[in-house]
Amino acid sequence: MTRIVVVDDHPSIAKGTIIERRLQELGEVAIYTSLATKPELLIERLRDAEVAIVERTSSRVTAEVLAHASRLKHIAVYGIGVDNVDLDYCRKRSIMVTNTPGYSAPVVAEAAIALALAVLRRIPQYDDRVRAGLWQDPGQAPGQLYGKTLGVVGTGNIGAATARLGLAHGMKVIAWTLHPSAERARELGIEYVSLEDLMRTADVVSISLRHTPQSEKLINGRLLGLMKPTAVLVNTARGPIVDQEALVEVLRQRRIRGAGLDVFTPEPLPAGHPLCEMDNVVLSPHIAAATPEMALAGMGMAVDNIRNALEGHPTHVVA
Amino acid sequence: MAHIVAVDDHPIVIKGSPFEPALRELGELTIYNSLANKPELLIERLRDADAAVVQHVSSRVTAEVLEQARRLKLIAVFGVGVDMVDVATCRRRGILVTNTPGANAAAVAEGAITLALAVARKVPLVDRLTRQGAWPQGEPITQLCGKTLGVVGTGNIGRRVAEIGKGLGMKVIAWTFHPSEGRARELGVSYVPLAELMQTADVVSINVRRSADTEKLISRKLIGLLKPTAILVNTSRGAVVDEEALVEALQQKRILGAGLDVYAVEPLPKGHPLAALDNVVLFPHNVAMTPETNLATLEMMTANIRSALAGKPVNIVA
Repeated sequence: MTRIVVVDDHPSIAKGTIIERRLQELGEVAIYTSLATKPELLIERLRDAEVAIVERTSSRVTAEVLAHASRLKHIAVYGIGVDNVDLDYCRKRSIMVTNTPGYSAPVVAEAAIALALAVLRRIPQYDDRVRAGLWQDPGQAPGQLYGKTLGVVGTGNIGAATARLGLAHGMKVIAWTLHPSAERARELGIEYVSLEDLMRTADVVSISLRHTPQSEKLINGRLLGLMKPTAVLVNTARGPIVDQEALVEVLRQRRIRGAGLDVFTPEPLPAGHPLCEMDNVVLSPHIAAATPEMALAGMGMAVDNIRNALEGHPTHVVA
Repeated sequence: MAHIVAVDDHPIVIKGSPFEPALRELGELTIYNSLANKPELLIERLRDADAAVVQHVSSRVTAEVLEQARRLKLIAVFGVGVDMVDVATCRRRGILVTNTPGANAAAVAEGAITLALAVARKVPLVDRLTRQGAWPQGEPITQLCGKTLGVVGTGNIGRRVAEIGKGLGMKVIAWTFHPSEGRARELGVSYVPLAELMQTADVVSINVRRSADTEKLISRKLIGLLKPTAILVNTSRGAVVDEEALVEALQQKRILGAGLDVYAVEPLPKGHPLAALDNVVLFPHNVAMTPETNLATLEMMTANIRSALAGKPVNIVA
């Protein structure tokens, strides 16, 4: 019987749910309900595993870890980004890696817009003020999306959904992608520009790229320096796409209005990190797609990927 | 020359704006840069005024205040709601009251959606816990996409809320005093009875003006109909909702939460029960106070004063 291990079900979305029951139809199931942030934990949990479900970016499935997982045949990642898995090593060992693309795009886009609004309207700061018995603050006028320009970096499923939400909010939308096409621009009702122009022009910049060697620190200090003093940066993709040190510096010097961040380098964001002290950021713990509906849909897709691979016609194969 | 008095320009909107010179061309302009939240302040400021500019609901232009404003001919309200003005007394005295409909619709509707998202995603709580290093991935959050939005009132603001809601992938239902099929088709919403809206919607957004008809329109009984997963958003006026009943529903967690920009008493008094709840997100009646909206509202308000002084008033409420 196939041994299936969920290595990091925390917070729990598999244990005791329909997901666990569906997995049990496919094999012998072990679900660990804590994070696997240390290599030795992951090595221990993967010892006898043939199929692994990896939910969290803090589970780093490195070559060292994989060297100990001699029976492993398939890593089913819950989510889109697989940057926490050593894909080259998996290819060499013929370990299949699958992901769960597409379904969460409208909700991640919703989270990106929510973060932009949270920064512009200073939600945490104003909520604190009102609770403390204070009222409107002349020096802290709220900002709005309506009439402004949204710059979307990356126009895959999530970037396209973010562009649509920007249009619904009465924004002009510009975008950048590695491979722009006039047809895609027409279809989305947006305009492709150079990354420099996007950073210079946009009032809200939203990052919707996958994390690859090419996108690592793509949003560097030079590009951050081009942003308008009134601009807001939103990142719901992956922390390493942005030069986080440079971003902290730009925020500290108030050279942009603020940032709404769901992703960081590293994760979990350590207590005492400089970002935690800033009044021009809004932070969330990589939960853009963590609604009950999305957890069920995403884990359901991961289970489908496992069943399909076991039946010999694998789906959503990344490596 | 007409004496124009801005009774409560705080936070400062008029002073230093492009419309200050325009107002000075229309008359002698006096700007007070503090709230006028006491009758004696307002009486003093309006003593010699021919025209008054009123920005905040805390400036209560009551019959008592009007009694002492002998020269007053025009009250130009900066905003849509004129519930801070005793309109009946104004009518009797022949004092014209104008407002600025539509100028703030985009910002207020966006503010309503902001509050709904903030409650659904627990933005302030999650932000605080993340700053403390707690990495609160287990904090239950929810999404608006795929849910039902109930819009109470489909004037300029309500219809814009409906538009954004549809953009977010929500089904939109609505209630108004005077529903029509044409209006429903035009907006792409279906009108339902208020009780049905309260029972069905995942997000209820209040966008009616305050009047005798809407005072506590969202009653204890109607609040009791809300789903345990529902979010109530109010960006219109505090008095439209039975605030005591809402606080109880929130304390007993009979609804998911509330996003509030307006309150029964403003500023919200220190120590108010709402301030102790973790299922609310609170704004200080500022969803319309973006720089862009301030300018659009000022432009319309200045035009209202110009037209009224020229004997051809527009945007008349009373």
